[in-house]
Amino acid sequence: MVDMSKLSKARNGKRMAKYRAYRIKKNMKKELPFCTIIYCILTIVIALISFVKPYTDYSAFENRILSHIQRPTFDGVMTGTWFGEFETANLDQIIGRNVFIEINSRTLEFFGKREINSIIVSNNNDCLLQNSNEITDYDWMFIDNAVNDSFINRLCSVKEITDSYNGQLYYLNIYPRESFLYNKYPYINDDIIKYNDEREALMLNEISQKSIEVVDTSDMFKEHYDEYLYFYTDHHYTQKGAYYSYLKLLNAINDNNPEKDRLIFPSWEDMNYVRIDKPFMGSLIQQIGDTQYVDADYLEYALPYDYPGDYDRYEFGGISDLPLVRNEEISEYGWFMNGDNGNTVIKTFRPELPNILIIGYSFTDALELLSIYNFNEMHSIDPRRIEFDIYDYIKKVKCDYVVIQGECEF
Amino acid sequence: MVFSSYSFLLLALPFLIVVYILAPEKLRNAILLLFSLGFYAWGGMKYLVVMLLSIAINYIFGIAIDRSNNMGMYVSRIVLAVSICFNLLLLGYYKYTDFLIETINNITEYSIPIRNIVLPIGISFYTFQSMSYLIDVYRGTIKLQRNPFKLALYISLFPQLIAGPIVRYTDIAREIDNRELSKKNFEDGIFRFSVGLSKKVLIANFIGEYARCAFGLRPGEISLVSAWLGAISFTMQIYYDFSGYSDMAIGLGRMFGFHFCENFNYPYISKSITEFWRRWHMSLSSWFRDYVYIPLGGNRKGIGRQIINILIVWVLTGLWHGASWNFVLWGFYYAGLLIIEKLLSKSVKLHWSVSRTLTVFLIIIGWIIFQTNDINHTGMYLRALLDITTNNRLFAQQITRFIREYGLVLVVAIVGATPVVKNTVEKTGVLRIQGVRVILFLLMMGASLARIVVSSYNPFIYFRF
Repeated sequence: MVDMSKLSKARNGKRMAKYRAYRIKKNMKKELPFCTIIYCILTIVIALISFVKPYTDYSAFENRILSHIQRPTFDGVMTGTWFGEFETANLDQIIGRNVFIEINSRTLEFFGKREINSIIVSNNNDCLLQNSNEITDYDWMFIDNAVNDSFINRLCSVKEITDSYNGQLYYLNIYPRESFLYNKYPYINDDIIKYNDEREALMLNEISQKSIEVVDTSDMFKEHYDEYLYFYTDHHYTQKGAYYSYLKLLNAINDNNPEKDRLIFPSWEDMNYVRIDKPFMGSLIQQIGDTQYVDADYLEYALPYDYPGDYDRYEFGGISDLPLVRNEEISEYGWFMNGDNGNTVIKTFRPELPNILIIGYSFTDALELLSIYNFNEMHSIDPRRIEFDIYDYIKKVKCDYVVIQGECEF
Repeated sequence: MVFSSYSFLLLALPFLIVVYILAPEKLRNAILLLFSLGFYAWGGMKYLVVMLLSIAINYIFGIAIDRSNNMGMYVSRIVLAVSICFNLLLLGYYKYTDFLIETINNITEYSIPIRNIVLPIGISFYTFQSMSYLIDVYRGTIKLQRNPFKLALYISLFPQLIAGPIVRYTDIAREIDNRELSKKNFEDGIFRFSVGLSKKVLIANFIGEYARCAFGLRPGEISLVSAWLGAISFTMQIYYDFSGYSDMAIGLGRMFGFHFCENFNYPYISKSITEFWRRWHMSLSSWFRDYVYIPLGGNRKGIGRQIINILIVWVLTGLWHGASWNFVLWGFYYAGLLIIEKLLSKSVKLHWSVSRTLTVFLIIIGWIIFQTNDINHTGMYLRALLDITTNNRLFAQQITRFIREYGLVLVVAIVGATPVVKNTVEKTGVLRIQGVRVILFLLMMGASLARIVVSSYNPFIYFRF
């Protein structure tokens, strides 16, 4: 027997489904194509404003020059290269570019992604750390190529020169950031820390064997491990990290020259302490493009109260009015000595004091600022930014002390 | 031009939509044709010349085949053969010349200089479309297109020009002459486009980072864990990349009134390799089936001939994907699997869970052959899959890192590769609510556009200090 009530329900159900489908179809006919309309309006407005607005030349946030739309060339159009440049220029000049970068960061955050452009965001989310953890199995890389022979040969050449005029050479080793911030990494690969430490020990031992004075800051950094010695959002050390490194250097110079007046530097507490309130833009933030970490760090520096105020500054031999500490809207490590410069000389008119030459990359910026206090002339060279011969320069200026920081190329 | 670019998303597409809607119906084909040629020329004008030449000659061949159909079988066969040879030579010159020279240099003592020929983008797709048109004219299954502009529109139609699907002339012949401009088409099309864009930009590119890293490791660097995770990541990346592009193409076609065939149907839920190839890049599989496998005799001439036919089809499929011995090996790999399945299908029955797992495993191995640079790299990678010497600490670290970095997107990718989402959406009807559709659309487009803008984000940290 057919159950009439069920049959009736089923028929009603079918009718209702048909009716619902009819209503949906009818409503859809009435509905405006909102997605299409919104898409067209938004894209046209964004493209128009981006086209009409004046070019932005530089992005402080990304720390780079932004590209402009170039005139098409025949070859560029035929081969397609112009179109690629056009695309890049449009992306660089899009209105609200930083907002898009921000949206991208939030999208990555939604997916729980902590590593962006090889930068890892730490566990507690308040700081950024340079990536030291590839997916590589590090067992393969031990340790045959640990010693950088060509660098040691260069050091020996410099030592020959300094010995020839009774100068002294010091190799300054800064304790690496990965090792200092070790416990903040979200998933540290112990192997790379072990590799770094072992390699460093081998390298320093090799340098010592060449009778070159090694100033190793590792102990100093380990002793002050709870202090703010490295930025979280920048790959450099802080001015306080530079301060401890500088003390270590002065100690080594004093120990090697007991017959000379000791070079004294005040303690951190006894100096004129300045903390910059402006937002700090670390190099690692610039690499991941995420503004939420701008407040994770701050810039501070301390200089002795009797820091020499009377000095002349020279860049590549020409007089310069660049400041010792830059003052701009956004602070960054490049504040010290106005950033990396190829060849800077500061003359403080105190002939009773010795002269120093500091050779290295950007870590020396903060060091140079401090060394002006103890030396009559402070010479600095960033080997990446010079075209002259470093050996000739050393022979020419004959500084009492030559300091080489890190395994720089020259 | 690619769909996931500023030039397309913010300049070309909105411009086309507005012009297309405002234009009178008679001009719409002309607008689409001009736009498609401009779209193609964006990659370099000189490649446009190659495509225009291909279109012009195929137009003439079409007429010749149509006329020769009345002159007897042999004449029409000869004309068809000449036309197919022309297309294969064109494709062969750009795609396989350097591969051939390298192979000759390797197996002989010659050192013929490599020509470094740049492959015109999309040539594999538009050549196959042209050939299918000519064969269909020869077979009489379609009517000759006498209007060269309409044929040009079919071959160069921008949504499917760069990465398919391989649309047959018969599928869109009617729509070239007469198609509907409707709000619903625009709305459905642009939503489908945004889904495809998100699949490509938000999932494929995202998880592809890990795959790129893993496949870039050298011998000794790669561990068991990174090898497996890299292979799984690539399996997801290639699906979302390719199916995302197909979604964009289908969506764009829909906006302008074309209904392209589907190209993917959840291939990773397949219970056999045969089923996988019915669900993966369906337009290519069906192309080879209809224009190579069946004409060769298919399965009608005994098992021996069928095996040979399968081998021929899969070597060609491999070579179609790229000019490298790895793709040939990949073709042989699938030919072997399909032959084994044919031979065992009647005698061996597996539980669905076993057959699905086994199929996915075999697909992953297939992608490793596909993605590695050469045979040595393939061997190294496959050995790493079995390398159980990785220490436990490293094992735990790499697993933890992968789960934290890519875990969520992998879960999203796996769920999205099954019909669960589609079924749920259809059952609940949630996308029929316009507000939900609009919000979802804006979220997907906004996030995708942000990823695209950031692609030019290339900070240079030593620039100023």
